[in-house]
Amino acid sequence: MNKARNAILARLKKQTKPNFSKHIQFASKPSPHLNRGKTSALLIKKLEENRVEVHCVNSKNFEDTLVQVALDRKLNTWLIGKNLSKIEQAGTALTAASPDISLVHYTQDYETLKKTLFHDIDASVTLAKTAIAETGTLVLIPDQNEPRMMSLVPPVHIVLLNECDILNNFQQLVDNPPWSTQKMPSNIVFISSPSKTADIQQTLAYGAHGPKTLIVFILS
Amino acid sequence: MTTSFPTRIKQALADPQLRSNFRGAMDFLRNKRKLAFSDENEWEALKKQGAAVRQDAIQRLPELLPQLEQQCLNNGIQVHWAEDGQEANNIVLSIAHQHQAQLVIKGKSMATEEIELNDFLEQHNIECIESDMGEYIVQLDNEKPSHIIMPAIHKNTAQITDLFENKLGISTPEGDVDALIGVGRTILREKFEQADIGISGVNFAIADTGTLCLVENEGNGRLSTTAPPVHIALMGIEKVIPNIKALPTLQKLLTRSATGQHITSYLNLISSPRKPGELDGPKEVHLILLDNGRAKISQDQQLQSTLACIRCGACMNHCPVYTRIGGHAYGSTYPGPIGQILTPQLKGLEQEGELLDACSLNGACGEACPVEIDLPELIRTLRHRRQVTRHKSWSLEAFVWFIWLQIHQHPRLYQLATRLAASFRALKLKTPTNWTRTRTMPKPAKSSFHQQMQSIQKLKVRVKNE
Repeated sequence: MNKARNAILARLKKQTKPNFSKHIQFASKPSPHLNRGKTSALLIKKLEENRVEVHCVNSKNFEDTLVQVALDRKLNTWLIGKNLSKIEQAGTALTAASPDISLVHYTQDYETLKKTLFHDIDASVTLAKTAIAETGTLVLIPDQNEPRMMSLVPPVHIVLLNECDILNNFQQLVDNPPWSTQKMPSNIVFISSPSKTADIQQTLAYGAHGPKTLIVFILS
Repeated sequence: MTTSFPTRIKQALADPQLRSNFRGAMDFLRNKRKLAFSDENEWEALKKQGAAVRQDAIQRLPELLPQLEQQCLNNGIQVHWAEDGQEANNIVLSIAHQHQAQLVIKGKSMATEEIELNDFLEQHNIECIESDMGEYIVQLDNEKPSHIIMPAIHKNTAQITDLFENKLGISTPEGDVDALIGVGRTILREKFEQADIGISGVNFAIADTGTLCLVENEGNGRLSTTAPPVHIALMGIEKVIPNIKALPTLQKLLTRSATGQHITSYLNLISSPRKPGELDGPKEVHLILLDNGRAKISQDQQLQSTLACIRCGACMNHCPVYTRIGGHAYGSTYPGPIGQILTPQLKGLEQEGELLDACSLNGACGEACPVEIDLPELIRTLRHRRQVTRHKSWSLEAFVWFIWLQIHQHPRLYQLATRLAASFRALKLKTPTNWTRTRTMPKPAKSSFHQQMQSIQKLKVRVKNE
């Protein structure tokens, strides 16, 4: 293996001298200074353009709205992470709302939970770390409390986002990332719509492999 | 490919269904891209940045690749180097054997197409299933992708409905794309559950954090890299970028150029396998760095920019030749303008140089390229090199051009030649059939341009004097 490595690097080093190696500036398009209201309005507009359902809620009506979504769509089996008080509360509210609703906690290994995950879950709830208004993008950092599969396998995925966490653009995010660049999270996912494809005659179809429905709750 | 390139071109041109499928798809993609880059100033600025990032990265490959390797190792990702396709295939096979793997699920990856990984694994009794909807359709019909972004672009809905009916025995209502996607989803979800290994490509690899970036819409890329216990990512060595600050620019350029989307449904950043305490994600992640001719390209100052490519497909979407003949006619993994410059460099000008003929040098690809690769110039350079190596000694073509040069360097000779051409215009000369088969041989005018100008001048003087 080292043989291939050394041979490739030796070939690369034979490059004729770089004719430039300059410092590249990534000044993002000078976006007008948006205040918080405008940023979230832009985010909502972009999300809705990409077929994401958005609910603006406050801590008082959040649980009721979530329960309403569950009842309207007949979402009975919910996948919930752990150690998130907001989501724990939501779970309690859901089970209290209807005897048909039950919770599955993602507290076991994927291998153990696999069958349930693929076949029994109707919806999941996870938290977004931040969001990008410019493109209507939710940024999730899956971890041991909210494993990677939660935002991927259930047919309906619900994301909670605190309004104060919304950023204007992608460049802003990478200039000041909300994660340690010394020790990157195992996985960071940018989500901008339900799973989709246009691979058959350029016809857009939702629910290709991931969630068919994406719902965002923006908490003010 | 058993048929020759000109034969395949003829066959493609004679297929009205194929032509209308491509025409429709190309118009669609071009319009979407145009809308996404409607701000001309932004497009110019992004393009400059994108080109600078890619050029800088290529020139710093000797430092960025070891950095990427070290960071990946620190993160728990195992790194392998492969000089060519055979080595890469063998690395995949040995990992598969370690895990007694029988089923591999694949996310979309042109690099794996380039090394023909599927065929190789099948030969070793490992089933390989493509999970991108387009790739799945193409694989079901024992075909290769005809476009690097939309692999099944050559088929329409009716053809895919028939394919599912014939190969899977599942019939869906006529024209119902949702139903077809539903079928694919159900079948492939089962495979995601069962697969022993997931294989993916890499859109960008970030050197200073050891992060693999995957861009996609369907979620199959995320599933392929998350569900199976082992994830193998294969990337060409040119895909590395120094740090995450360069990512927003490249992401914007890639997705807008490819499908006209400002961002795809998913942008997936993978930096490590499942860590202790985490509940899912692959237990092992392997990164294979594939050379397969790329380092050699980097040594060539004139052709180096070939490696800047971010595989968006805009050059083929804008190519009038690709639009008419489609991807399969090229008979190479990478079709269209990028394929025309990349394939001959990877596989040799002698074997693949013929691809360079399918270009009218109209320049559309160069204008569409989001990282400012001067594709027409590269095509010309390669054509020139091919010609030079092919005709080292005397040939009819070289002789004709020698005469042409003499005539155009000497004004008197030029005048004589044009007069002679005019005088003998009635003569029927034997003309090259390759040219005249589809064109009318131009006939010299009765008098040369110079003669005509002279008589006009004389006329003017006479009118003035009268």
